[in-house]
Amino acid sequence: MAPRVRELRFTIFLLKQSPLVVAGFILMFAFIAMAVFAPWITPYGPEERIWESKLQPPSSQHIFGTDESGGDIFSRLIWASQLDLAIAVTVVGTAMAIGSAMGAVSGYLGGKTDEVMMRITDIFLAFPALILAMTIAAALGRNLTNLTIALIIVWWPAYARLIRGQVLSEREKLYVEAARAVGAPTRRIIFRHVLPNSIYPLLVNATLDLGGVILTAAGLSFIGFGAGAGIAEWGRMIADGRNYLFQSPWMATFPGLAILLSALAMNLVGDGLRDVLDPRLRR
Amino acid sequence: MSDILISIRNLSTYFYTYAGVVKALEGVDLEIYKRETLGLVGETGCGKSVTALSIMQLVPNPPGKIVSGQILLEGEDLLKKSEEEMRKIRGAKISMVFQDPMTYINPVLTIGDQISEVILLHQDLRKEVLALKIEELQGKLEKLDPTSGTARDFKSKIEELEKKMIDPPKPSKSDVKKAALKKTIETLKLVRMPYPERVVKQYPHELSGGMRQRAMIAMALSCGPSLLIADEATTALDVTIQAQILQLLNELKKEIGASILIITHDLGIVAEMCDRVGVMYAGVVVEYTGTKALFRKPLHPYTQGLLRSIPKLHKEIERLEIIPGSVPNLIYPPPGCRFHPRCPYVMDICRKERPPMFEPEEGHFVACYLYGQRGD
Amino acid sequence: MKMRDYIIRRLLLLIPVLIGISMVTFTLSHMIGDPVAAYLPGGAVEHIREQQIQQIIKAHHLDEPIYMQYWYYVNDIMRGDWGISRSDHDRPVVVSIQNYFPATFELTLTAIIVSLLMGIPIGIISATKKDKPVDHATRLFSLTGISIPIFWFALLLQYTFFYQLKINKLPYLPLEGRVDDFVIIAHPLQTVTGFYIPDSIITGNWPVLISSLSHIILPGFALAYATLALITRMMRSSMLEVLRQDYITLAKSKGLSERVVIYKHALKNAMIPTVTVTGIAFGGLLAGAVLTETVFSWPGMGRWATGAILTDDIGAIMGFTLLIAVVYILANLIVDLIYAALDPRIKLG
Repeated sequence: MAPRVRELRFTIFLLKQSPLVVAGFILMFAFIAMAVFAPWITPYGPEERIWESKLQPPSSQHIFGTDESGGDIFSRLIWASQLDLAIAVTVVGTAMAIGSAMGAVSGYLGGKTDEVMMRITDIFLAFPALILAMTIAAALGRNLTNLTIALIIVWWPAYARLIRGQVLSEREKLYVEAARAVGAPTRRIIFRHVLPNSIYPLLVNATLDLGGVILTAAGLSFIGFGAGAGIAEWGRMIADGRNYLFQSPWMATFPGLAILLSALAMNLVGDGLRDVLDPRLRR
Repeated sequence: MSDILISIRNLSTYFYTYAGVVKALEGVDLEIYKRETLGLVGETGCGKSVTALSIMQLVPNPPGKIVSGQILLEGEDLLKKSEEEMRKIRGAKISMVFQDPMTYINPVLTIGDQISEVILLHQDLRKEVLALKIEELQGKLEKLDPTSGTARDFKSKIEELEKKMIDPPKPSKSDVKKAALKKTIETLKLVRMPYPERVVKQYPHELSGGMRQRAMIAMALSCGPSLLIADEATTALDVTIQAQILQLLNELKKEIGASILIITHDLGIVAEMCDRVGVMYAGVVVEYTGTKALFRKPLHPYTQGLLRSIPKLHKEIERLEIIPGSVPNLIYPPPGCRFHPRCPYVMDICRKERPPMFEPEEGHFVACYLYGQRGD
Repeated sequence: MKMRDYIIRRLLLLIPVLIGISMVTFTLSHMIGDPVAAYLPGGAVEHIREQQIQQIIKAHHLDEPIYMQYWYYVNDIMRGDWGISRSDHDRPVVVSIQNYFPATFELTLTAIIVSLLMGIPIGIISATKKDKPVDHATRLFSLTGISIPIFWFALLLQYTFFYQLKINKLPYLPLEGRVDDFVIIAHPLQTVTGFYIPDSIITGNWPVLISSLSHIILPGFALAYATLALITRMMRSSMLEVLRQDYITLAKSKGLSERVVIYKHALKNAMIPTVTVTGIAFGGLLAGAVLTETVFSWPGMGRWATGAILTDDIGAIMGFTLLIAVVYILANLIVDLIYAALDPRIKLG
């Protein structure tokens, strides 16, 4: 059996060992399915309002109840999953791409370039994510697109640092010297040799960050940066539900549960991957 | 009164892993006499360290387990003892020195602390505390005019304390610590540590490799154990430091009267240090005799191969001698004699049944059908 | 290098980072809106006379090239003029900070203390009883802690411990705020430290103490949960890592009891990464404070900051951004010092 396939099967075996990790994977796929199949599983559209049935508690007609303008919470929740997951994937994917590239270059070239990059990331990392994103989102204008951009700007420095660290440690390794001795150009060395060896920590971080972005994006929408009024987004729905917290608690409860479960799924998967991909534990 | 300190009979230790059950030790038989230095020699992975850990019952519990056998210490089976009873033995009756002084010493505690804790744990220091107090008073007494009233007071105080020596009172914590510190410094002097008073306050990273190893030996010897196990104790050191430590162990042998179990893969160390040697291969003891006898007349084909493969200074050769084949997979060990696939003298019975220990000459044991048959 | 010299050196190294941060805030403020607005009292933007605008431009050098503006900006900051907070009744930014910082600090400090006091022991237990039910329960508890949206958890707490208890005629916790207004008017609090809880203890002002404590419970716990979860997890994983080390085997070979091995040999080593993580978690606490203060109407920096950003209050934005960055860096300095105290291998500098 090819070694890569064997490794993969061993990885899957290890992952299956922990019921929590398995649960995480199932949850993750459930959410992805929910987002993908939204049009087919929602009884109502995202903007549909039935003014007569506003603020209804959960019933057979409206599984999670209705909000203050008659929107079906169950449907809106599922539509929101499209939005939130899309934001998460976009942010993490882009941040990872930009950050890795910058970090790899910085780490490999070293010297002044590296110093400058380190100071820049220092400045970004000096601010807590939420606050920095808040400020950027405010500067750009408060809508979802700008929120996404703000989050990308906030998240890329961590990846740059991560990849830079990997590059620095891999750079000293013998196989890099060998590649250089054979005359491989720098770019090739980075992309074909160093980066593939950095995949594991990258993967783990990316998964965990998916959860982090969901939480941050929802938080920002909650306080008013990002999803505007009426948009089906989990954080926004909670903000709307806050006004009716005591009389119609279902409005805020279900979107919150959605955030909790999706972030939980990401964390479980990320944790599982981290434990399993740790080379020392793989003996 | 038997001369045997430890008797290991039919010890089997297995490791239960994802890939299968690793039969690391399969029926190991060994005896350690009092005041002797026994070497346990073999390649990496043959089970020497596992044997040591099994004696101490420190085999990591998942995934390892001692599945059968007896380890008799002065007649008592250690494997039947409770964890609490074992803890009284560890560090006090049997102690261990490990391979890498960098990773085996706790980096955030001082050397003195790590030695004192053994002393404080296993020793009743009441007499030492009292002795310390008497010493203190005597020191003060010397500075006084012997006819003065104060001097007489001191003298009577000293007499009082000396009377209490038979059943000293329970000392305070700080007094005990002082006594332990004194003993710690004495132990450091025993292992020829330079500047022991200073070392006591230092951290491991402030010492050199050789000094760290001496510190580990001090920890092991601080309570006067009957058996000291040295598991590859010099492997991680520079050759010159290695020589120093070996010399230290040799000197200590006579001074402390303990038995030493030296685990190593280096036959040179065996030649220099050990009274008797056991040769291990793939979890089994294959030969076992006095050191001189082993080197002069190795009986087991494996031992012969080992000794042959060491390049000799006085012979010129073109190629190094090897033992053909490789060490077996301990999850699926070969049936019968574990060495048979590589043995130049292999016979039919070797493939089927595991050879027991024969004693072709007095005191020289071999597990090989060349020297006997089933039922001898 | 001695501790004192190290501290001085680190504080000096703060300066380049601060310069960088001030550049960032400066740039952002120019992006967000008209810099003139930072110095204008709120609301009256349209009715300002041309003359007033000219005055402001002259006084704050807003007509000069950008690098000169930056120079004056830095000067102002050093002098203590951080502008005016339009969203906070046109108070000078430094005054707003003086008003709101203690509230946030008290809340975050409570959260950290709770997190450490609970997180460390739970993490240790989880590690020593690995894979047993206690461990699984703890892991689920802490996983939930890092996955739960703080603001939603805060709402949940309000719903349960205020509303549900109240309508069931049980004693309930306050909904929002830092202290009961009636109580503090009836028993005015003398300011010693600026913080309610210590001050009320020092001055023996029991009604205010009780009110403050009951008000800080829910927001404190909401804020603490995520950090508590983080610390528990870190403690568990670093404890597991340490227990695998060789020196633990040696400790066992000495015959030391399980307790001594864990608390003397393992713990000190395991604390090191945990302390680092606490420093990092501090940033999350500041972010969490923003959300928690919003939900509980806690009169702190978080709420002020949110209001400022929502209303484009540039003075406030620049002010608290700078402050937060400084606080964050100081927190990291403290973490480094504790790190050096725990690990004798670290040579400062």
